[in-house]
Amino acid sequence: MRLISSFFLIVLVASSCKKSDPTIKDNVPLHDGMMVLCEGLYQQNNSTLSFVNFNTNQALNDFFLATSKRALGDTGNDMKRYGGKVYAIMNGSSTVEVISGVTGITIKQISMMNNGVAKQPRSVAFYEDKILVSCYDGFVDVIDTTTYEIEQRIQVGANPEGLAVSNDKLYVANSGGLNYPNLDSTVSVVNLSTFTEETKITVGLNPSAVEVDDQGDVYVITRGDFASVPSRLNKINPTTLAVTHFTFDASSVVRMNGNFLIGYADFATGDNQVAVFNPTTDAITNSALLDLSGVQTLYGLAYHPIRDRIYVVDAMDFVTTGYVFEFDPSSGVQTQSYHVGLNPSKIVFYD
Amino acid sequence: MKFILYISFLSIFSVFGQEEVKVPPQEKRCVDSLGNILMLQNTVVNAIAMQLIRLETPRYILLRKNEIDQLQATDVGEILQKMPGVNMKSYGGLGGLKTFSARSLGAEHSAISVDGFAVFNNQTGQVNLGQIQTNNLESVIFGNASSNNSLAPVSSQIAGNSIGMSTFEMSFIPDKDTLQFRSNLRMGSFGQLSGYAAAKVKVKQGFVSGFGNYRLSHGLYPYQLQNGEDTTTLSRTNNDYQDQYVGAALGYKLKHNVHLRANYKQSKVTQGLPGAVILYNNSADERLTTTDQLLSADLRWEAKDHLYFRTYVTANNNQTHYLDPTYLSSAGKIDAHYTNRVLNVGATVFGYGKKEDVINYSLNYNGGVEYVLSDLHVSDSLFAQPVRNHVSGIAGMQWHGAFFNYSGNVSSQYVREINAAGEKGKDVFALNPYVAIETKEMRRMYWRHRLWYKNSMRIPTFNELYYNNIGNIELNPERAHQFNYNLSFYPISRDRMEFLITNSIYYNRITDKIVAIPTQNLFKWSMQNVGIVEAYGAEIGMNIKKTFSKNPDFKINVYSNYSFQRSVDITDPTHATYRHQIAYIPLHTGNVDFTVSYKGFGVGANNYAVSKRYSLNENNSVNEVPGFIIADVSVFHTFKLKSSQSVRVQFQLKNAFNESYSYIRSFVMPGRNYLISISYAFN
Repeated sequence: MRLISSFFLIVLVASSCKKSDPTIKDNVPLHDGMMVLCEGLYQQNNSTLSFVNFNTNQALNDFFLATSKRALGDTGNDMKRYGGKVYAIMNGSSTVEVISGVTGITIKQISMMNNGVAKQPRSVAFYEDKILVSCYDGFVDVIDTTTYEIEQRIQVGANPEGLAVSNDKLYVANSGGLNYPNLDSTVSVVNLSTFTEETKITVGLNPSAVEVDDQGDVYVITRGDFASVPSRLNKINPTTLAVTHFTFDASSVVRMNGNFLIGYADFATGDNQVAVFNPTTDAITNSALLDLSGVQTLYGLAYHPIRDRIYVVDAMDFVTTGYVFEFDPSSGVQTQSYHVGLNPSKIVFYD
Repeated sequence: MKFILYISFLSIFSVFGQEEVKVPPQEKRCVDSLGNILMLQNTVVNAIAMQLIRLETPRYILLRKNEIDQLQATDVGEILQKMPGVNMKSYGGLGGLKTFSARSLGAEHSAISVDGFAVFNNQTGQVNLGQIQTNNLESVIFGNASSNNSLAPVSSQIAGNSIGMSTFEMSFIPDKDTLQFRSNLRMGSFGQLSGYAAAKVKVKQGFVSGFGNYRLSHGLYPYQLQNGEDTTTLSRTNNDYQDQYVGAALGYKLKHNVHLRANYKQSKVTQGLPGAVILYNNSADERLTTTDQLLSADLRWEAKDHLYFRTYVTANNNQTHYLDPTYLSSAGKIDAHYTNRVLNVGATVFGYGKKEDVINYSLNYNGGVEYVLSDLHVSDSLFAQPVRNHVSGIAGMQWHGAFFNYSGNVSSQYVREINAAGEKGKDVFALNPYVAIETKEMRRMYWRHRLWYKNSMRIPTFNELYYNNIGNIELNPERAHQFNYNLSFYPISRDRMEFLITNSIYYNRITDKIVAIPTQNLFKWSMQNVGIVEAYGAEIGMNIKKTFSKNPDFKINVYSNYSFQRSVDITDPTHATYRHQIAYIPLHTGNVDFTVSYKGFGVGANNYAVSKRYSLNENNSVNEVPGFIIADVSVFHTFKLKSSQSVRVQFQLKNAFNESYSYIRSFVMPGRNYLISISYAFN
């Protein structure tokens, strides 16, 4: 591992000179790579983007600073692509960074302040020409994709986290994380024609991530209380709003074609698992897809459908720089590793 | 040597004893007193200064009032950062948090005492040095390993290192005076305004003093923020500060050399917490209010010739109120009250041999016991209700042979916790040794070697044991092993020039280091005993004072230090930070302080430099916090109104080159600023 670390350190040093690398010159389209959001640590202003080039297998850390000429900010919490743009949600800085989906350079920074108080945005979803941003002050902000104006605020539950759209409805996980130990257990259902909350559904303690399958069913991770109540996956039927609770461990969910990858990191034992879940049959089809023996802290997952590769994000011990590992889903074997920034979590692909 | 003295209370005995020097009357006074406290009286020091400095071992660094003035310090933190091996963390602003660590041991390993009474904070383990002001200080003394004084509180003697301060209000009046008065007015940038006054009246064989202080600042200082290629000038917000304290003290000398002192002080601090500078988010509205009542008293006496006892008691009630009015919980705020109470009682003894009227210091002995009862009440029902019983003791001796001095002690600590609201922290029992050997001064030999080892520990704080989600009741004490070699070149005085140089090299090993690590996810951290830190370093200090025979009123003082500190994480050889420099410990620190004076007029230049540091233990470029050099300049004029009244006027330009810097990442320090100070003293 030290050899690998040394190698990547050399790569990092070698690549940190902007002029010497064509991929981080201004306004150069990015191809065959992925942008990794590295959260950094709260109050350290050290959230970064790492761009990984699949052709050279190089990770260009601090890509945003090198190309946009300023720092990304404090504690990036989410990042997703929508159309030709990528949206990074900066929790500590209370901004939404609109980044070119072609060059990776900033297009616009949207300030998320409310009468001088930071709204602390957490996650992002999209609906038609609207950017929907959950904010820790109990609202979802509706932002126009063209003007970047915040058009309205939808009141939801306490400290909303993940959100996803299904059948013209927005499902927002209300964590209540700042009311600890009185955590929330609900998901807000928002009507996207009126932009108002219709109802709240009780799903389980501490809802966090939300994902939707091809049928429109809504899946919610409930993280529990990190003690006696475990972290689990739940399903909401969008028609009946009935909730199904699954009994396997799950701390993250991402789509892999029609299936889900279910990630789980057991902090007590140090074990990490990635399982395959079939949302049609609601069954785990492979409980240990990948050989994660080299992963310390599974902190994020992504699947690239064209390359047919799974990317596992390792946050290590949260205070040292992390890695992204590439896996072949058919063999479960690691095929590449990339040394990136501090606390990597989210991935967006540039094809 | 007026500028800085490296002085040891005990070593005075040793050197005079071995050389069979008749004890001068002033020295007798030193012995009578609480070591460093009365040692600071000018009459004492001036009379025997050169003898002392020639003969002492520099276990301690002592700064007296005029040195403190020349260092241009507004708080104790600014003084201590000029001492070798010291690493200061400052979060910026008047009264902002400043903590101190020496030789990588961490702030919790330092014991702080004022007027011989220990200052505790069992909630956080740290005392904010930014809130201890300098205008009433008579001296500051800092020592690694052994305490400066065998009659000091046991908790100070057994700590990894100790800082002792003495104040005007608690020192006895010289025999010739019946009234003493001190006052100071300061005005400076960012709305700084402060006033201090203290009066002390002789009452028969004792004194009564009253004192008060008030200071405030709006704290809206501009700072430069570098972000990529852009540098913008912004202003710190929510950084207002106001503090005040009042108190009274008395002292009395009874028959048979019995000294009694008592002191009451209460203070209140209200301040905004500006927090870290977060890019693109300038909101800050947290508030902190601290009220404190302190009652302390001691009695010391000479039981028989050269056998001294001291008993002391301190009762402290410290309340903090933290308010975050815009916290994004359902309540919409955090409104928490913390009350930390401490009762400290102890007794110490010190004795040495005597042969007729010549003191024979071949064997000295000392001992002490102390009990500290402390508790914490928190308005948050999730927090524990801890009560701590902490008993400590020390027994030591010093023996002086023909060529070497030997000293050693062993201390013991027993801690028992009670928690009415749940599980309690572990009970602790430990024995900690200290041994030292040093060469004696030989004829024409100005060098002295000293070698010592000390084992010490620090008990986990209440926050580390019990804080919501983070605390861990399974914590063990953090242990420190210190190995030190010191070589001192004794001050010599030739052609009106005094010169002192001292070097140290050391190796420290800290085991069971208490660190916060994430356990469930990034938002759920826990305190764990997982760290092992190895630190080695070198320090060199030099002090020159020059006067000129043609013009004796013309004086030059130079005081400089350089410290090298390599402090590495050796916890896990497979970890990415293995053998990386520990966060926020610079490899190099140094200062050069220069003063030129002619009669009462003078100019001073103070320079302080810190090399780059890392904000986390991983030593990469992203974590780098740039080093800095800060220069302060001052002009001052000291003059007498009448023979007994002196006035000092000083103008200081701080951070003269408007350097943009920070000790802690995202906590910016002020740029160029000024401070005008007028002091008046009667007697």
